[in-house]
Formats: sequence, structure tokens, C-alpha cells
Amino acid sequence: MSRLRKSLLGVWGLVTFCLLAYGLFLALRGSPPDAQQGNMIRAFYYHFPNWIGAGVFLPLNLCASIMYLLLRQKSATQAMKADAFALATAEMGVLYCTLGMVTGSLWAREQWGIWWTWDARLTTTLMLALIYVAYLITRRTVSNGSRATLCAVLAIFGFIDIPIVYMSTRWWRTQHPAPVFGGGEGSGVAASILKPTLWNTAAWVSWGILIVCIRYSAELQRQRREDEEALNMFHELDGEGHATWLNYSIKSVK
Amino acid sequence: MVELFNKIRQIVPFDPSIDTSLGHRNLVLIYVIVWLTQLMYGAYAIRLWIFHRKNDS
Repeated sequence: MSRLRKSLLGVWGLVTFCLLAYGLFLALRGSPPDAQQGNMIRAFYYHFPNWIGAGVFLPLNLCASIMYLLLRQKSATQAMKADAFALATAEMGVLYCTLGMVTGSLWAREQWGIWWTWDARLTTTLMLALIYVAYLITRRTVSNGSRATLCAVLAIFGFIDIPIVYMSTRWWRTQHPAPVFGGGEGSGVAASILKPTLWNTAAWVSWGILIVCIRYSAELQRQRREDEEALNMFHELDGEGHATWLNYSIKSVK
Repeated sequence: MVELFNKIRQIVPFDPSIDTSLGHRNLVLIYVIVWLTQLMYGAYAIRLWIFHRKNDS
């Protein structure tokens, strides 16, 4: 990573921590309690940004996966970058999705009196999380050359669930409320709630971008080294070298 | 750990006339879980980055 990129990452990190600190201040001290929910409304400021995070990084994972499939025959370097980006965004998306479910469950226990219910929104969300967990497990367990292709295809299939999650509160009667923003007539929140919501959303998405950049860089370095090692071994394939390669393969299999 | 949790409990607003103690505990848990999980994942990503950078050089 060049010095300029490192500096940019440092500045981005500093801005992110300032945003997170200000968001936390607004969520805990800079906003009044709600008339109906009391101080429990403060759960919304840390629940909603998780879903925006998932809504940003999982579509980016789809884009990276499609890019990988398009580029894998044309440019190995670009395809590798797309694959590394797909991994970074998938991990971040799963993290946001999981946090969204956990914070939602803790909030629901107070508001609905239950930790969980098998309504359409919650069930499709759980399915989404499990699909992307399966994606990450596949990345870890499959070790041959088809891993990236397999994961890219899995990511495209997995993404189909996202529109279903989003539309579930409109298509079916659910325990989960209708969308707060853009949910038609009567939707929206008071200005005192909107401000901390937007600041915290900006802060956590900014945090996600920062960590995805770092994770992407680490994964790209790992893949490059893996490729170099494979190439070096391939170059040793001659006479005696062939035996070394064969021994190595046998040991790897064992 | 319990002391730290209790200190965080004092930071998160609580009004007994409008809030329940269960709600307050869950609210504290929401903030603690989000921060801890994100920071732990951030630390993991940075650790991997440093590890691969060292191996490259």
C-alpha cells in the first residue's frame, strides 16, 4: 500500500472515530426520550445503522462477485482484486446482519415481550444471514482453484434474498413494523430522532468502509503471496524438481 | 467485568417513571455488543493486514 493510501486511510479513520463519538453522544445525551418507548428509542440509533450497513456491503459483494466472473478469463489480477473485495464486503455484511438481528432481538424483548418470532421479516433475515455464513464457510473450506468461482455464484444466489427481506413487511402481515423511512403515508420520524439516526448511520457506514479497505488489502496480499508460491513451485518442475513437487503434493494431501 | 458493565449502565439514560429495568439492561447490552463486536472485528482485520504486510516485506 502506497504512502498516500496509508495517509488517506489514517484521515478516514480519524474522521470515522470523530463521527462515532459524536453519534454516541447524540444517541445517549443529545436526544430526548420517546413519548411511547421512553429511553428504549435509543436502541433504534444502534439497530438501524446495522441494516443500512448490510444494505450497503451485501450489494457491493454482489457487484464484486459479478465482476470476478466477468474478469476471471480476461485479467487474473483484476479478478483477484474483485474476489478479495467480495470477501471483505461479505464479512462486513454478515457482521452488520448479525448485529442487526441481535440488537433487534434485545429491543423486541422490551417492546413486544418476545426475543424472536417466526414472522416473514425475521425469518427471511435469518435466512439471509445463514446464506452468507455458508458463503464464508465455503471460502474457508474449499481450497482448490474453483473456490472463487463457486463463491461468486453462491453470492449471486444469496443476494436474491435481499429484495425479499426488504419487501417482506409489505407483502406479508408481520410483527416487525413497516419501514420507518420511505414506508408510505405516515412513515418517518421526528426531527429529534432523525438527527441521531442519520449521524450514527453515517458513522457506522464510514467505519464499515474503513474496515473493508483494511480487510481487502490484507486479503489481496494473502492471495498474491499464495499465487507467487504456486508459481515458484511450478517453476521447479523439471527432472529432480518434479519429484520435489510430487512429494510436496503428497504431503499436502496427507 | 461486572463493575465495567455497571459503569456503562450509569452512562446510558434511565428514568424509572418511563423505563423498565429489563429495557435498560437490554439497551446497555445493545451498545456494548455493537461496540465490542465491531472493535474486535476491526482488530482482527488490522492484525491480518499487519501479518500479511510483514510476510510480504
